[in-house]
Amino acid sequence: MVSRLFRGTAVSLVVAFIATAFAQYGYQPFFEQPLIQSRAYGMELILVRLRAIDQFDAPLDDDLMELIELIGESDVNRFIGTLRAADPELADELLDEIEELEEKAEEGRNHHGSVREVRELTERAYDLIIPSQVRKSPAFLAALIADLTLGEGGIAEGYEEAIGDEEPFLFTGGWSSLQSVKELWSQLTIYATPAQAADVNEMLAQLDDIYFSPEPPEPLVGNPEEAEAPAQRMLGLIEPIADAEVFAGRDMQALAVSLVATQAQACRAYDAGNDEVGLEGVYAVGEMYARYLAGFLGFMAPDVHEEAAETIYALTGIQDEGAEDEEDEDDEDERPEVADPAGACRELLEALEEAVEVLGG
Amino acid sequence: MKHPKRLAAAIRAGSLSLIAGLSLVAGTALAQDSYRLYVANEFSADITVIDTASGEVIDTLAISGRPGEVRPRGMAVSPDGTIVYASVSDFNPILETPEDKILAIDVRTNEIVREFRAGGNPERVAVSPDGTQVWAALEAIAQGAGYDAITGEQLATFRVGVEAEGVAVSPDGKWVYITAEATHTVTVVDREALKVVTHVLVGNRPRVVEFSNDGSRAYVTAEIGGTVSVIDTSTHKVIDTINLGLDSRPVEIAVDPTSSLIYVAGGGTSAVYVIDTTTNQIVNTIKENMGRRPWGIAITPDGKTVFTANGLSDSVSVIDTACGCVVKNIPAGRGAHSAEIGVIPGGL
Repeated sequence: MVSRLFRGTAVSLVVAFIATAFAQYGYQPFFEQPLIQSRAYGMELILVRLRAIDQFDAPLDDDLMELIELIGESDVNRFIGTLRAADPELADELLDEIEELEEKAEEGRNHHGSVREVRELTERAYDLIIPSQVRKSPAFLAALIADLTLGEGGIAEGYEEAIGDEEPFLFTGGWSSLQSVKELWSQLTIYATPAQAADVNEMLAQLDDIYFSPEPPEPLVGNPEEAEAPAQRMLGLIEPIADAEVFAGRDMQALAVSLVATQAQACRAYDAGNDEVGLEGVYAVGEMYARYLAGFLGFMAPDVHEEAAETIYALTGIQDEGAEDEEDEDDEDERPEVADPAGACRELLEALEEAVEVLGG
Repeated sequence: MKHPKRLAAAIRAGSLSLIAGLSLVAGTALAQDSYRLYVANEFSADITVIDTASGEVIDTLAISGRPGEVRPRGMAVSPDGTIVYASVSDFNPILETPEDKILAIDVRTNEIVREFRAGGNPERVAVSPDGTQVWAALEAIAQGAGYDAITGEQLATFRVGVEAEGVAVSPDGKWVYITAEATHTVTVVDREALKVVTHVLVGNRPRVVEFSNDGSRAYVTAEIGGTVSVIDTSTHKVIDTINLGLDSRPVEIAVDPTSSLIYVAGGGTSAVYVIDTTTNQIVNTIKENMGRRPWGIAITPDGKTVFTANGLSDSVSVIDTACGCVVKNIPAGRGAHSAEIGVIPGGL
């Protein structure tokens, strides 16, 4: 009853909401090429995790093992279907090497060789499935910087969760994300004026001070949001440099409409029996949903949100911040098995269509 | 509260008339009010006090012995201008330490005369027009809360959006508006009935809300959205969205008590946007000589001077509203966050 009331309130109120889709920048990478961005993000995440664990010798802490597990359980799913279509051997080789890395790490054996192997294969995959002209484009680079800054375990969130949740390995993950962002930024600097570059470099220097080493400080205490302000400011500075809008949630209604289109594409892949490609789409949708829509819908239309969030979690393991907090309180819910992924895909599509309605569409 | 018109009116009706009467009896000239600017510094955990006439720092109030762990942020002033309220909280919102509180500072003496607990990471505060209540946005627990201004007794709490941030009480005292960063909403509370009326979707990552002088409009900045949402307070609906640019990152708003202008601090562009509320158009953008990343902003009750709290340059920029230009920059503490004007009726 309460949920319906909230939803009713939302529907009536957002009628008055004037969508603010400002065309201030020339590109909107998360709207124009959501699947390409998501696949690239998956590969960037693998490179981030590899750099992080490569800083430490065997045997690895249990915490660092979690970073390795994420490669096989999550990151690779963001692009493996497309990679398999392009080069099935490379896809199998990559999955095998990831498994080998996990085994070595679990057994406390030297993992550095496997790290190199997985990195090399990932870079080959990157070259194969992301067109070179896209990889060089400022909008693509800026969107990846945003992903590695705002995404789960990225520069801003990684620091917050490392302190707030007392998970030191997330500090190492955030440090590694920062190194990747600096590499990506080095490709963007040619588009910046000296003053713009100086401003971005100042923010990066502040982040370097926060992430002063791959090793988390002991004790890990302080302001959990310390990395957020310079990280957010850096992104605000990068948008005009790249002429690209990288905060995809500015216009939530437009984002929801875009997610419906991506999700429909994913469901078509499932229906055609191509589950890996379908899952790629759900990852692209789940990431943006958790980052930008979950907060509002969880508050104003909790029944719609619950349906969407549960399905995204079941299919991908992606959770929004609110769900993570609840899970912390409940001591980790088991991720449910999905017996019918194609059916789950359609359920998520329906929930997203309802979200568009809630947002005034 | 960035709403000196009520403050000016109260002073005119109350203490100032008394002073005027006494002055006449004594055969002396009418004493002028003097203003003090209060700047809450997040990282040095103190409040800088500046004499607005001389532009000199006259005091620095230590708020906590744990700088870097505890911070003062939003402030508000009592209707007569003589008490400045400041919200104080831990950086780590998970902690529910005794540092989550609201302080009352006597403008004449700069002494902390009262403090009361406001658990849940109070980010910003507002004072009711009758001065009897202080309202706070409790960031960590997604609540708005009202307190008795004298005793500190918690009068009511309401569920609002996630990461509550800004709060304002309407000039007629009827409504409390509370913004929430993560849900992009403003929650409207009926202050007399003590109930939530509605939630309004505004721009992305709303920060601060302020009411117009007549209370018919509320203005809400959206930091990521780069907008100011205009809400009709008779319907609680967004009727206009003023686009400042995606890079503007607007935060605090100062409502000019003497005109139809509002001044918006643009942290992203290190600018102050001057908006004419009769047209909802930007009529001036003040950038030259501005400090870096202005977040806080306040205007004197006479409408002649605007001050910004600049978080990256740890300074205050002084704007002469007649020329619409920065005339001075004054050092403040580390991480200057918010600005508020206190009044000493009749001056010191």
